[in-house]
Amino acid sequence: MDQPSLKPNQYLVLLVLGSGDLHAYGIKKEIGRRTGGTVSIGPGSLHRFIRQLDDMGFLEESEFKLVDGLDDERRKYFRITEAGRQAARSETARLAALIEMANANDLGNR
Amino acid sequence: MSRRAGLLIRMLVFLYPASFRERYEKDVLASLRDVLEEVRTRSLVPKIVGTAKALVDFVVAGILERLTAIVRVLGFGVAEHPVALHRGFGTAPRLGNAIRSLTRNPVYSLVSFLTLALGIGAGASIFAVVNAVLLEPLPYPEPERIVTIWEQDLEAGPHEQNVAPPNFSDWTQQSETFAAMAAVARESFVLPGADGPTKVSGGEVTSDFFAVFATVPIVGRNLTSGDSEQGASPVVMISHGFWQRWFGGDAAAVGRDLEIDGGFRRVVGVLPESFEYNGPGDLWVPLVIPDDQLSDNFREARYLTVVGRLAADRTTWQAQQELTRIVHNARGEASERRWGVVVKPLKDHMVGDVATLLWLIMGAVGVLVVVVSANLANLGIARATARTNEMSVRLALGASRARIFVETLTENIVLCVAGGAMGLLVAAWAVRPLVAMAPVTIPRLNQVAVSWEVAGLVFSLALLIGFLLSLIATLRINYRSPALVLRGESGATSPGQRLRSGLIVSEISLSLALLILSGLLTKSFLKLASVDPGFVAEGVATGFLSLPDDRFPTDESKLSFFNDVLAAMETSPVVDAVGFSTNLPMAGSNMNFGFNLESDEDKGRGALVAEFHAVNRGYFEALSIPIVSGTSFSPVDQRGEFGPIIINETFARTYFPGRDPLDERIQIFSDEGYTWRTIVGVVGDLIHGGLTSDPKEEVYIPMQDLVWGFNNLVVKTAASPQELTAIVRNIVAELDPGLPVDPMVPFDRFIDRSLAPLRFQSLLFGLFAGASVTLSGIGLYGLIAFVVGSRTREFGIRVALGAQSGRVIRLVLGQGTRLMVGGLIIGLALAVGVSSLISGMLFEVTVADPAVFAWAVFGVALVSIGASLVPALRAGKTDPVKTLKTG
Repeated sequence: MDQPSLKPNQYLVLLVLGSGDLHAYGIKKEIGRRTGGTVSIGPGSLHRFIRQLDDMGFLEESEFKLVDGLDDERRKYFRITEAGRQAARSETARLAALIEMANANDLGNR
Repeated sequence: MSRRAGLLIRMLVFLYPASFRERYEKDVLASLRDVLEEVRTRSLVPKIVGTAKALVDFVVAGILERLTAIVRVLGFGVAEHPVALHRGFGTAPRLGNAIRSLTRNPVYSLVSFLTLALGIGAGASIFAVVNAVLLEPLPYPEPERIVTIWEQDLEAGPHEQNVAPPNFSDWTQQSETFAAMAAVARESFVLPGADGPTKVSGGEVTSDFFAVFATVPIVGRNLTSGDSEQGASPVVMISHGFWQRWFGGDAAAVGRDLEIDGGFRRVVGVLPESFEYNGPGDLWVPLVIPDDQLSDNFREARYLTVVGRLAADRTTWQAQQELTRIVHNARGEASERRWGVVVKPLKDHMVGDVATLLWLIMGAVGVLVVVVSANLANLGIARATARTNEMSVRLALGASRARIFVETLTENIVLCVAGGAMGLLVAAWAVRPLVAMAPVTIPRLNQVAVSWEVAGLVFSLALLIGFLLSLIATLRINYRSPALVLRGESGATSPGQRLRSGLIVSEISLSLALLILSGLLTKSFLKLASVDPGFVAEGVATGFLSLPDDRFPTDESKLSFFNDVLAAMETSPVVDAVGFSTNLPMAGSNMNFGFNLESDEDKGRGALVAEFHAVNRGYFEALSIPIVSGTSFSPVDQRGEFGPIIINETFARTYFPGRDPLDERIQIFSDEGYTWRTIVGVVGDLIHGGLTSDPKEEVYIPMQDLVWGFNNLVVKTAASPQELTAIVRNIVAELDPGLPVDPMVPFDRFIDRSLAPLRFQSLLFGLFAGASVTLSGIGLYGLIAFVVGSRTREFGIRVALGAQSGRVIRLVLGQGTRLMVGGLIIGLALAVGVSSLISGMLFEVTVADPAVFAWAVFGVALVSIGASLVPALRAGKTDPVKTLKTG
């Protein structure tokens, strides 16, 4: 099946979840941290992406609860699925191919 | 996060579809709260930006989710692969489509956007005022139980009067309808300070005062009944603000002593920040009512303001019945019918007459919003009709009506949300000048702000308008058969036209009604502004001096202080004239005393009543009040019996008709009791009670014959009020360093205060009427232009068959005129119906002022004819060859 490309923000969510289960606010903070604050996703949009990724089967709810003072029964934790890992990998490959192409044409950052 | 913000967010979450909420409601709310909590700690600007970003994101994501769900439910695109749904029919591309579609029609989009921004901006700013003043509950627990209690002279009409001490005492002992009742004698206090003594506001209150407002001190204790007993050690409760300013919020403030009015009082409690009564008050001391004031002799001494908290299940009416009965029992048969009791909810007392005005303005806003919506609907219908062909083809090719609806809806929501946001900005900007312009008599103006409620209302309104517009537009496209369109036949009739005509007629009628109301108010304002007050306020400033009895125990000491001030002021080179008066015109105070004429001495003392002012000659000079006949006072005047007095023209006309009043005598009350006085002069009338009042009978007594502990300094000067204040402060400080002097205020302020309500009303209505007339003009123009556009072919044929262009013009104009006449007739009927609502605000203008009605009709007719004339002239120029070729 033709794998559709992920939207940048969906991709980011998957990348962040790749290194561990998080709740929504944790995902938001982690994205902010990893991008040096250049990407900020509002709480509504973030849940839209989560809903979309969930619909696509790329993430699921996790039973995991971290004791960090923030967790209570309101908060869901999310875990990346195998399909999600696949999708992220193929997106990475797609982007890598693009970067390869860019570099070959002297449009890269090398 | 405040409770209110939490409520708003819980409402907003309903933007998201149920399917989303089932899965993520708690989670998304928690995230949003986290973000809002996080930005809360930042400084002001990042906080506002951060909060706004998070909320906008929350709302937009909600709308997008909702649209996605609609699309899915309607079954567009097959949802077996969710990604396909997302990519092919997802909402982000659709939003892009909507924006592209809107930018393809920049005129339509811009006009709609501006119309919305204007309408919503005006509406939101006024609603912000109405909300803060009328709708917000008072900041006390169970505020609906708090009432004010007044005595009322039933013979004199419905004027609420303060309460006499014995009545208050009877009520507190006998009443069963109240949980608490308290009396207030409001006054200000003087505190010593580094920069000289300062005046602090507050009140003397009986011990139950704070129980009435169910207010508990945050530090220390409440007042007790023991504090109000004679001989109790003096205590004071302080406001939260005062606590912060004077004690830096130190809890040890309780127990400290404060020097107030030259004596010491112990601080016993600090009130919560939210507490406020009649504006902020800083010091609250126990009111001690002396026992002798509880005797029957004091039943006419009405000086207490009384507030109460009704018992749980009692009504104001029951309370009023009970208190009236108590008063009547105490007073016996004789005066039984004369004095009644009025119990009135505190909020009604505070907002009083303002309520009618604000509701009326709110009505005008409502009219404006209706006109705005009608215009938008008009534009939307025109656009939908213009796109009928496109839509019919798309229907024929298999697009479902629901899909077209969703598209239109997206477009309209984008437009309306953008217009609403702009409207909010307009409101946030407009609310400040609006408040600045408003008359000071409107209470709670300091709390007016574009709040969550206002924002919530605006966005609900914007979404509602967007939804209705889409519905109308979608229903409009269903009449055309795709076959007709594809064959290139354009039907002659536009289905939307009748609805559009109806909208235009209602717009014109509403605009006319608004214009008439605004005309009546403006005419009143102009009349009022041209009233001659009888004195010249320009270049005059005034200040209030009050002498405490402990330092100025005798009349002589007071008088010599006032005379010293006068003498010192007169030596100042910037002072042209200086005087004193116990009362100032238009400043809201007056004193009435009884007197007798020589001719009817036997009627008993004080049988006639006039306004009395104790003044010196400089008072007439400072305010340029003309001496019509006789002389003014002089420093060497005889005092006491047969001493001079001055009357005004109205007094002379009333009591000495057709006679020269000079050298006549009247018996008046002064410091020496009732004495006979000689009239030495007559001065011009001045309007004492405000510009709308008539001159009354007035008597001027030399200030040395009627000495009070207070006086109004009136100075005619070229100096600014600030400079003058400095001069007066210096002079007073030399005479008595412990006496505070308030800043001198320009006298025109009193006249301005009298003008302010009408100016505010006529300006507001003028703005609304102007906006509404303009919008209906635009609407009418749009409709006629559209009709002309769709009938070009017909006009071409007519001209080709020999019709003169004048005939075509008349044909088009006729159509506009028919709508106009319909609108004018309905509008006139409407205006006659509602103008009686504002009769109380008019001055020397009747609600059916023919000139105003005529001008308003003329104005609306002019705009309407102009609006139809432009497209009519274009129709007249139709070139038959061109139109028939291209048609």
